[in-house]
Amino acid sequence: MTAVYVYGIARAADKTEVQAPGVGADKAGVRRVVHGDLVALVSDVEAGPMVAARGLRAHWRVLEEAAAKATVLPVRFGTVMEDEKAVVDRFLAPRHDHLVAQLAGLSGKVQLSVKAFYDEDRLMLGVVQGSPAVAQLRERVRGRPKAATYYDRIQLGELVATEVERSRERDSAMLFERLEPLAVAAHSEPPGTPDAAVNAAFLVERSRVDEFSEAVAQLADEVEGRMRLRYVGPLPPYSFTEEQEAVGPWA
Amino acid sequence: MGLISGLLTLPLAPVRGTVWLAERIQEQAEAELYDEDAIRARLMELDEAREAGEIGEEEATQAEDELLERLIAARALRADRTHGGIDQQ
Amino acid sequence: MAVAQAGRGGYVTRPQPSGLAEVIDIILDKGLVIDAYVRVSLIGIEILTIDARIVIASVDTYLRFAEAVNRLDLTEADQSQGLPELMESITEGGSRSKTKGAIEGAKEKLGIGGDEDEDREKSRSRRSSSQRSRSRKSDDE
Repeated sequence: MTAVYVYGIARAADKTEVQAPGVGADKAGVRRVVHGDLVALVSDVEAGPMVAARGLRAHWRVLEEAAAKATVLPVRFGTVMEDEKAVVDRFLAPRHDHLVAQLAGLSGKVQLSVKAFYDEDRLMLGVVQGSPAVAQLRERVRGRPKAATYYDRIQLGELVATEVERSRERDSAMLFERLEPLAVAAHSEPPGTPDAAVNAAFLVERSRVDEFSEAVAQLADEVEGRMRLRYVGPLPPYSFTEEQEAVGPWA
Repeated sequence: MGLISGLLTLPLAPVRGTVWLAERIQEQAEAELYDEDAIRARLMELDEAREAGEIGEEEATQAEDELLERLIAARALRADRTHGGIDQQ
Repeated sequence: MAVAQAGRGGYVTRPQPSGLAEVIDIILDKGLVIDAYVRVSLIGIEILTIDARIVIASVDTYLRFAEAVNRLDLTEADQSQGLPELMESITEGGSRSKTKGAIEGAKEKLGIGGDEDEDREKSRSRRSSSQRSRSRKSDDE
């Protein structure tokens, strides 16, 4: 008994043939389900549980490959429908106009991700220098047995965490100020790790990617030693895809 | 807050009992296991190690599999807590 | 890693292909949501739901921050050094500070060659710094 796994939606006219195998255990290939000017990229999967990690990997490889050639609206990981008819009747048809509008808005643009990570020593130094309260509490705690300073250490940690958060806000503002003007849209994502300073997604016209990259390179030079930048893309426009229909069927 | 005071007395009152202690340690271990930040950081370390050629592809994939599964579990855990009304950062 | 030489005598960097780790969050959190059934199974992982775990996790984070700021060696600062001198001693002591914070994709080595070691050094020192910050409560307890 098989079902259909859905990866993403694109314009039927765009080239979206994908070589990467699908998420199913037997790695059935990715194929197209066309409905008018829309196409859904799908593959057959067997009914039953899927191994999460392998599915994730396959899912991503399919999307990466498809998005390299065309604008693809990514679908949430793990989305399975009964069959191709369901894909058309319950997805492509009822949401046709919204999907077409989204694809039009994203056409010719790519998502680029810019993440900044702190050098921990420099960050901590800045925190201690910038906050007398931290410096004081740190003095109280240093060299004393850990059991005796439990409360103090928690308070110290809390203070430091607050200062780090402030630092993140300042650095995010700075990064956005520099890069947002070169993008069509910008979106802030949650920092993924304790040493993360900024996690920003930008929607950039393909024709302006080089210019954008140049600005990123310059920024990297400026923050050198204090932060390191990770610049990734092009990604499917995850951060700029509206997850659901904004209006109900009665509209 | 009962658990925090329990933890605070940990170094001072080891006579609490080994079963209780084992449970606290187990919870701590699980908290670390499902610490999403830590899992993400390890995933990144894995990427770097793989890129630098420090570990083989197969080994990297296996380690990555485990981490991904844990990350998904951690997120499900978090969703559970959130829906239970607990405010978690 | 793709770098093209630009006319200005510098190097044009390009955005890098992503590792799964970097996109895992958006893959799981974002994208079109369809009215469909989701079937993802977790092999060999049991999900437990004791709420007290949240508390441990929060406290855990703060202890880690405290550890980080304590570990920082400010012995000279502790003798009330001025900031400029302090910065000097930090950069002297920390090889990591010397490590270029440039975009990972920036392959300045293209056309020059021989910088493989530098890249290895970068990723090693980066990893050792993050390993240090992640050294756990083995000394806390």
